[in-house]
Amino acid sequence: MTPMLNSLFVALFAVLLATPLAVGTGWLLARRQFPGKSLLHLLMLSPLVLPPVVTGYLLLSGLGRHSWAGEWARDWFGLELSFSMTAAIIAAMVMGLPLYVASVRLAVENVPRELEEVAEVSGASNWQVFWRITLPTAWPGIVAGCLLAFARGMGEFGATVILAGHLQEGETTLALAVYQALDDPEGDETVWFLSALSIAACFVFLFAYERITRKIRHYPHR
Amino acid sequence: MTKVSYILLLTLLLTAFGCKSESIQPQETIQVCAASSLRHQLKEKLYPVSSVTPEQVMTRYDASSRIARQVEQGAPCHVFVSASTAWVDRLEKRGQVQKRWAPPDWRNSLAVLRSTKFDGSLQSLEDLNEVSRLAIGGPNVPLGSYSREVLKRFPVEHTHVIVGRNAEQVLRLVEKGEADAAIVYASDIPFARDVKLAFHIPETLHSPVQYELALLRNAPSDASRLFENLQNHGIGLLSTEFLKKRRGEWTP
Repeated sequence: MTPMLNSLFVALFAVLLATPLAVGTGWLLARRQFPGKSLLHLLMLSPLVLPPVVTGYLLLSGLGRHSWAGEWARDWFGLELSFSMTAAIIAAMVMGLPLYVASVRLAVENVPRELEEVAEVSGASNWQVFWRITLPTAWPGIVAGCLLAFARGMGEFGATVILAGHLQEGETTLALAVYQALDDPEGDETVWFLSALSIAACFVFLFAYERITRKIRHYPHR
Repeated sequence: MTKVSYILLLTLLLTAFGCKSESIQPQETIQVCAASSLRHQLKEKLYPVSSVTPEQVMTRYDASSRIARQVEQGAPCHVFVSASTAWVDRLEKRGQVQKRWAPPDWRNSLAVLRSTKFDGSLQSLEDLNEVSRLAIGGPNVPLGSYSREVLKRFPVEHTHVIVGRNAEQVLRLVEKGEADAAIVYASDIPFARDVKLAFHIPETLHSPVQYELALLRNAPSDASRLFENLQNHGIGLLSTEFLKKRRGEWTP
């Protein structure tokens, strides 16, 4: 069960970290014009298209132990950004981000501009418009993006195995645990058990996803 | 064109392609699948004694576990060189093995390598407690199991252990400085870059690292001949003679 709990923990933290970034970037892409906008969009979407192993390798080059970021995080916060649970969280976050940002962007674009303009005319600041109008109206899309990013984080493997390695016993995620059990000549039972656990988790998640999106569709403000 | 003409045309094309592939491969290539820790030695040692040319053999390196699982599922492989006898046992139980042979001189040992970026003292297994990150193999790959046997006797309490999938990845981790030290196969030492040999681990501290060859079911006659040649001549693959040639500078 530990790999399952680890996967949940990693995906949950990844989504928590990704939320401010995805909401901010999604809003920026939907509502603002600025130089380099297309580049930012491409950058955000790239983990979706790049082979996960490549994304993992790029992350390892940027966050490895002897990189500037890796040294900074270790010196200031005592955090290891590679080959640790933190690394697994970062990998899951990066891989889930494109889905999250794309959902937020679409959701914000679907907020009627007139609503925001009415608030602006009534004297609301940009910040107030965002908090009081845009966010409450776009939240179903944001929740959908959040769920997708969570799902991506739960199943993440390619980038994780490069940035976080195989993690120590007791820290492995579900996907890594299955991969490790395949290395064991006597590991068939473990593989089947973990696969069954993944399938069960998948059904629970899809059921929850369906329930949440149904509720969102019937939300009175939509 | 009618449907029938299309079907006829498709059949003709398929037949033509079928004929072509037959004519290109008059002789079946011998597929050798070997543990990734043998990447550097196998080619050098395989051809002189086995009377085959490099063109006749296709060699693929991977973790022994992955090769064995692929063979089980019908992947093309005629000679399997495993870093652990357990995987050959497993294939034998499933009726996939024709002949097996564990050459007595195909033994490996373990050593500790240190990153050039690590400047602490590292001369014995007790010193492993002084490094902040130690790389070892995954729990179920042969290198990982042997390393864990050593660490059971010399526990590292203050060291963060990071896990590489196979022998090659463990080596990369210490080469890149992601780990201060790593437990690797001694046979990999001559091929490591940007690292220093800290010390060799006595073989008494872990089970013997024994490689094993298996001639698999459905292997063509050429593959059987190659297997028999190897058995008759012996190839001293991991013998001290081979390592000594390159070790020189690697004495700690």
